[in-house]
Amino acid sequence: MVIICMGGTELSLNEELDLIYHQLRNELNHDYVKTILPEPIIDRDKLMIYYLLFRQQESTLNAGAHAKSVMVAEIGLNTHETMTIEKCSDIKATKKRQLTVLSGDFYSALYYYSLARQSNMEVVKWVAQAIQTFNIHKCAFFYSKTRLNWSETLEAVMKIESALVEKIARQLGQAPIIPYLNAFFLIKRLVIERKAHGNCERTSYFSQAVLGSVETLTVKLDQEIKNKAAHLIHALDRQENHSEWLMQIIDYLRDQLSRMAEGVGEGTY
Amino acid sequence: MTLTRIYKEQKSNLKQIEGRLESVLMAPHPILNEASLDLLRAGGKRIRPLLTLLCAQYGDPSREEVMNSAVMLELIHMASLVHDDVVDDSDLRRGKPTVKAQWDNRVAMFTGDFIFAKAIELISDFDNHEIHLSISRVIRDLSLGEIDQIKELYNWKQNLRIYLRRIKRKTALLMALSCQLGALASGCSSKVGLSLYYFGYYLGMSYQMTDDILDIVGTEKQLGKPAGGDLRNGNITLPTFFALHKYGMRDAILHVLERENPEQSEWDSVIYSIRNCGAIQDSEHLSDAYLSKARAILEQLPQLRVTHSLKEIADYIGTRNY
Repeated sequence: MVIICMGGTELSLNEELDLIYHQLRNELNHDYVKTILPEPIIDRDKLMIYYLLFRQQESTLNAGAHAKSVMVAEIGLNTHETMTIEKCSDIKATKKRQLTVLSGDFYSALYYYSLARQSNMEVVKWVAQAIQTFNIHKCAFFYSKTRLNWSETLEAVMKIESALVEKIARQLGQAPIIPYLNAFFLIKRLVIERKAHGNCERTSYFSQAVLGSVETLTVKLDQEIKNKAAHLIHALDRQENHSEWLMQIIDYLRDQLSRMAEGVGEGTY
Repeated sequence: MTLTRIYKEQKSNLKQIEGRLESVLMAPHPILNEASLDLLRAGGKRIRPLLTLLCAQYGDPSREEVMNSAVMLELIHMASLVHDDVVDDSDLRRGKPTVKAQWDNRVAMFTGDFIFAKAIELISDFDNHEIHLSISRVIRDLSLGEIDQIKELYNWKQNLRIYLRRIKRKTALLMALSCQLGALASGCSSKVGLSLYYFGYYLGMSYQMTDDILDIVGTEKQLGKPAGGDLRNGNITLPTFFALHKYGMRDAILHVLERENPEQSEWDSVIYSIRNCGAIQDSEHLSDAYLSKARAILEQLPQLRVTHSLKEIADYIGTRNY
């Protein structure tokens, strides 16, 4: 993997990420699975954050490889998240469900395989621990003894969304950035949920049962996204005197949030 | 020495493994905890940890890594079973409700992922690059084997090579790893580790072929489910392969396989024909050929007491009826 220079020119951060993104897409490719399931979604923001976090301590080469490995684990979990609980009757739906299980397992196996090849067992351990936390949070959310109210729901979703990235940031000694990462990835998830609701698609965390009607939930999500994004942009604007690396992450989050906020204003996300 | 005696000799070690599994599987959420522990209490032959413990006797079996390897292998096996039950839509395993039946598919996903992550965390402390490469490659291939199985469902044109590759990934590699890990974790040389890897591989191939034979010849009481379950699900295993390609049963099998809802009597009839056409004998011959290769590997190893125990296990695989 050559990412520092290409044709004598140093790559920009975005170009470096493009390269990592395309390598990851290739690694996730499975000739048969792709005929049945949609291509797994790679969250570019998460990939970028992992890359920036690792780059503080590693060469660009290693940082890219580690970021891809952690991202593969994240994609494995996301794949299993699409599992439905209803009974399947037709062959096509059954096959889709079977491959959802198995491709998720394949991605989960890939993170260990790729990190083992990089001889980085420390990161393997972090990811394995984060996956346990993720599944505990998921069980707590979906099988709570009491019905969660709105703010408890948001808190639970934030924990789930950030389980891996929080662990990696903490282990790499970047705890101060964690509250911003948590807030950012919660907003991202709210945007995804809002979009899905708008299109009457299945969502992961919010159901009409939480608030009573689709309309109420749409309004509530819009408000929440707007408020949380404004709050986070304000908090990020006040950040200074951090290391160059940390400022790079802060700047990235601010840029992405501004783009998301424009979408909120226009109702297009 | 009989298999019962081998289990008896390893009783305290296996008991220790059960205890370790129980403490590793403790989860801070009641459903996750209950699902994991129910799975553990459902039991099983624990053939993988047994192989690890036995193969460790070529080195120093008292090393901490030996026990951790055995526990890790059983955790990986357990995690794959929870997810397999979702894939196969099975409500019963070893006569007890599966995680997905007792709760739902989502809990099964969480439980399998949780157990798998526990296994990886446990093994991550090993300071041996070779071990990690081996384990991670096998785990990856295990999932590829499962995907292959779905891909080849109802593919009656598949050749023997495809079947062999599938069972290699699905079953044999984990048995091979169980043996190799026992050796490496106990401090044996890579050479001994490799020999035991191949012993486990040949054993695993035969083990899966025997499973596939039993699925056709076993009774509902022995199997805990109706005979021919693989065929009913469109899974072409070794006896069906021979019946299709060597005994001219293609039309009879496809007639049932390609129907939407065949009658029970039609299944019974086709399974009866597979049982009696010679396909079972051919399957047994191939299974025995793999066992002979496994036994030949043992000839090259030091002739210790454990070598005889491994021979006993090979003999058991060849004659088992459950």
